[in-house]
Amino acid sequence: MKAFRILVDTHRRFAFSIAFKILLNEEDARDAAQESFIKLWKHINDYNFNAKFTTWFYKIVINMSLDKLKARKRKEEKFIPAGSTAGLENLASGKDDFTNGELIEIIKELTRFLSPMQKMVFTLRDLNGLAVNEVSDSLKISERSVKTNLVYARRKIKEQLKTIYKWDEK
Amino acid sequence: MKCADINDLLYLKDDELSPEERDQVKAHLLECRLCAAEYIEIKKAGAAVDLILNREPFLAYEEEFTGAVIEKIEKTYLNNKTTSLSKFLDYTAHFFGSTGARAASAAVIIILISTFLIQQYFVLSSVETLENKIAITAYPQSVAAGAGFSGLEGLKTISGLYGLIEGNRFYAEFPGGMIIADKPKLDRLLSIYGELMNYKHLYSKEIEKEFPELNSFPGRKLSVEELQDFIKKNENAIKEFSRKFPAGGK
Repeated sequence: MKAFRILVDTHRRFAFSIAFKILLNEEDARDAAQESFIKLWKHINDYNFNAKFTTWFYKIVINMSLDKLKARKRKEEKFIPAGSTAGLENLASGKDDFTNGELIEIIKELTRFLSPMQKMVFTLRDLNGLAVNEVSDSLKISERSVKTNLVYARRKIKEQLKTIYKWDEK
Repeated sequence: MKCADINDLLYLKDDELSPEERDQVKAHLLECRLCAAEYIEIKKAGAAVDLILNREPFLAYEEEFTGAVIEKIEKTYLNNKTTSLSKFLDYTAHFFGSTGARAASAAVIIILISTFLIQQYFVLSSVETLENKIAITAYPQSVAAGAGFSGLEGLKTISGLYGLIEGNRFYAEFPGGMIIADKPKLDRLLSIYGELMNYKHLYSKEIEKEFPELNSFPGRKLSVEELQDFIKKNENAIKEFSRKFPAGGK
């Protein structure tokens, strides 16, 4: 177990960060990340050495997080008051560090006008840094569809940021 | 090309465009000031989003995080840490997977038992900094001894059952320890070190005599630096020793 412990120590932040940006909830992200490690333990024989270990593990964490997200769908989605931009203003202020709560607020506000698929594609590609083909694999949609969703998402987000950052006023 | 035809492409990053699309975007931006202005805003928005991409949320109680994972695995899959031989076979078999797992596990255990004294005598431990790209907390000799191991390739065969390779970093799990190392370094270190350890159970007295330094490491633990130093200083002596005392006995 010592070896596995080292593996968990090494990758726990990475796993938590992915799950956090998908689930936007600290506790759920922690659960998803922990369950991902347990799944890793169970399926370690499936690792075929062809892919980079982190890429392979990435997929486990993402799938686990997406499953959790589906499970809790409809249950919640915290209410964001209409017109709330406090989080984004934080982002635009040049502030160097965010608490987890602030980060959640920023991402929620940033993605609030996106459709569920646009939100997912944007989260995986732009907030978690997955390649287009990895997003396509994870969400089981074509690469073309990933790009189309990205374009829509980025366009809406740019418009939002434009107002917050006041790019028009220059 | 018209703005409407190019607009969507402006929102895609370089690596999301084909070379032809990249050329089209480039050419259009040179001739259209409106699209160029929009393109700048897109890039600014991208930079703002990158702030989030690069921000890692704070993971509270990190130690507890790992502890909870290990505890769950032990409870669910290993039942008890003090496993009976049968449970231990299952545990080892977990890494082997597939057919003949238990038989293979048993073989490994025989190897482990036969090298038990070696392990007790010369345990590699500590040093877990990935920054140094090498960390050894394992008993490579235990596997090496039984598997005709000579260097990473041999280890890789076995580690296929236990280990992971991440980029050029190598993780291998053995009952009792783990290796995380930079491959070329590991290759070099273990082939030489494994060679020596192959003989240890046959020639423990001779080794003790030849390499008294091995007894002087604090707590009989070697840091990687010490191991490197030791090998560097003794490389020729180890080779000479191997010639004098062949594997399998004199």
